[in-house]
Amino acid sequence: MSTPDATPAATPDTTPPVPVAPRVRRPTAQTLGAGAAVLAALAVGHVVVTAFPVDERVQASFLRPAVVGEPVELRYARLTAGEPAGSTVLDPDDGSLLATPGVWLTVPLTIEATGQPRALGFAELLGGDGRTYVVFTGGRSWFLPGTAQPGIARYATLRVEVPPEALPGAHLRIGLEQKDQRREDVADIDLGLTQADADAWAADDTPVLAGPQSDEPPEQP
Amino acid sequence: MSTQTVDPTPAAPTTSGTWWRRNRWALVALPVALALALVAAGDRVRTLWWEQDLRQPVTAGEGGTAELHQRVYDGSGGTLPVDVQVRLDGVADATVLPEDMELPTGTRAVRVDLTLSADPDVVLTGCSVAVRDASGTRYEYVASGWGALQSPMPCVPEDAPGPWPPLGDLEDALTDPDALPRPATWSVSPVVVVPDGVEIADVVVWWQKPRYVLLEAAR
Repeated sequence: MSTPDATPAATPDTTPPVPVAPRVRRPTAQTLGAGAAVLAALAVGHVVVTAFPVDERVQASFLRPAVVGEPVELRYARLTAGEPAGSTVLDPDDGSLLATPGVWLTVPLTIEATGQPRALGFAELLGGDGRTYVVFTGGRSWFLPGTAQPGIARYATLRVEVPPEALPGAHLRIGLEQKDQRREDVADIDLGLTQADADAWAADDTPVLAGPQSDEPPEQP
Repeated sequence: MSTQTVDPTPAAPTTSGTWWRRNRWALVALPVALALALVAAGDRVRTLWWEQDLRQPVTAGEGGTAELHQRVYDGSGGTLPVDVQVRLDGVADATVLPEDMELPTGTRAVRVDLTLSADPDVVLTGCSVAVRDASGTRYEYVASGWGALQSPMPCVPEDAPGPWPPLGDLEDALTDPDALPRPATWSVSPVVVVPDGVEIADVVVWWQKPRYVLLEAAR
């Protein structure tokens, strides 16, 4: 079995024998087993995390479906989308007209804040063509309703410039924060648009009005 | 046969107590590490949740005066002290509307009369005022709304707002050397638009969330 001193003693040598490093130990089967178990646990964890969309599900918005004319209750406001309109020319009510080779879609929205004043800042159109059309302030597509005081309805018209093929089956999504909709209520409004709407609006050059936001209901045409 | 060069080791521990003794420091460190991990993972709770709403009320003491002492972020990496006394003199329907204000249908305007006291060198420009009903719904003062332009600083005298937060290199260029000093005590009367039928239960005033002054309205 093991001998404490394995250095041969036959050779005369004045230098002391090189001491065996006491710390060097071969990994035992137990250590190797433990390492393998840790690696296996990591591998299983990776498989679990990637096989199931846990992150996406945890962070997903709470989509609240609605249709045109039907109020949708969100955590922060009650929202109602009016009848959409479209044309190749937009009248932003500031003395100018904006033309497009696609279609200008406008959707009047009524916002009633709950709990405290709210300024809705997120809007996007999920086109029927599978693309997402971002509606942001500062671009041609625009939604800036301002702050709604609780109990005092706020009226604003959203406008978005899209190709005609995006219109049939398009859904409008409205939320609170422009940059972050994770774990937050988001209205998902089916605009009920058809191919006939898209064809008619793509051939129409009668300006469609998108007036300024207001606390008074817009005048009915 | 090869000779083994390892030191003879004592027999492998067989009692369960030995494992606990061998790992005692790791076991002591484990709860500490868990606590640290929770704290590190929760660092955003403060900025993304706690500081995003009114959560720490300062109520009025004797004489209906509330004293707020808070350090608020100054926007340039530092903090500023807010040391102020606030008293609610009354909440009533506004008999005179701010210039050009047009009330939407189904709303009314209420005037909030406040008296404040503070040292003239305390920065108090960035304040918000709101009224609340019994259910806690908050109706905020809006400086630019319903056609009117009220003061953007509802808690300080418009003609003598006192010092501003630090402006960095622009400090000298933008500071008005002839500005009037703010008096030690002053009154303001911001007008808040609320829906008809809302009964005002209290008035809240804040400089930076989550702390706020809570003043109950007389019934």
